[in-house]
Amino acid sequence: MLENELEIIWKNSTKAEVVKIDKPEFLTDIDLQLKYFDKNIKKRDRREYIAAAIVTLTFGTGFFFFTGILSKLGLLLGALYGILVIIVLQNAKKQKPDNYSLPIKEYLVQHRKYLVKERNLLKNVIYWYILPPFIGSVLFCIGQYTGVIQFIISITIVSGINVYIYFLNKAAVRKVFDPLIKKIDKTIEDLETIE
Amino acid sequence: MEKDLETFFLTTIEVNKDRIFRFCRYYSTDAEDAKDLFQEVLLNLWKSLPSFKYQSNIDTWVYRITINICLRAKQYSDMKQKRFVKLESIHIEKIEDSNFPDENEKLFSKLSECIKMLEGVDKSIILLHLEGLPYKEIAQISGLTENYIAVKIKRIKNKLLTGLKSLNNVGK
Repeated sequence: MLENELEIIWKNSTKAEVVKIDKPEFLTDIDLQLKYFDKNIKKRDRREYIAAAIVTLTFGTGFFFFTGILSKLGLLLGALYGILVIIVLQNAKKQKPDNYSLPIKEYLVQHRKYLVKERNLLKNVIYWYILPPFIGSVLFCIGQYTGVIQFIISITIVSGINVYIYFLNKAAVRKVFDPLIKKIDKTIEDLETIE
Repeated sequence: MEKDLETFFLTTIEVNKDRIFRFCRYYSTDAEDAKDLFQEVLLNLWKSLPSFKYQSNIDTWVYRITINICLRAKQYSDMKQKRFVKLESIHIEKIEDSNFPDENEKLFSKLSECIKMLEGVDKSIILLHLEGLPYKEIAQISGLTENYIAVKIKRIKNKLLTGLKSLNNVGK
């Protein structure tokens, strides 16, 4: 078979399927779809801000009501944690690559960089998401010490929640981010290799 | 200004829609998936249009966006993420017309089968070549050099021809 035949066969394929677009409705359609996405993003952002505000307000209010230096320190840490989480999450979102008009190789490299950053964020979840509220809670519990049993129960509950969050993030790294980065690496490798 | 942009967009889509759809078809599992992917590409073309520099070639720009979206969709395909783009104004119609001879149809389906078996980026490069793009433009789309593209296309074509021959032998 001649090489040119490939092109001839290909060109004929145009007749197999035809795309029809109702022009008058098309732009309205697109506009509605974009508004819908935009609304969902705003809704998700608002949810995150509200959650962070609740955490910060709860701990912040507690700071003025509870006595004892350790309890106050724990509550202050909790209040700051709410702000830290929202800064980290918003910062991560800003780095999402959305310039699809880049050359394929450049886009793949950028997308990979973004995924690696996201993966690292989850890998380091212990430092920015788990430890601050955990230390805050432990300090608060020590400050409000009323007995060994209550103390052990409180610490066990807090630790249990944090261990669960840790493994949840670890699973996301293993199941989502590692395979995705591997796929992008393979695509970049395929692009750069001539077998 | 907005009106100009809309007119430019509609013209660009009208000229490129079949080509874009062909790419989507090869990066999808079925016709419905291809339609969803096609809609996603159109949506992103519209979103990206304000950043288009009119000095560059619009077709190159369209191809870049199409391929980047298709590759991304392929990479995320295992995550079973549902695409939510639903544009009711788009219809894909299959032509059962006799203008498409049986022999061509057979060859085309064999060629399609071979292309589908290619790795992600090889698929894009050969599709661009089959669409009749010169090496220079394929290089601009992919971010590789022209010489590199020439060698790569030669190798991919050989793979396709070998695949077609073996399919022909099986068919006999």
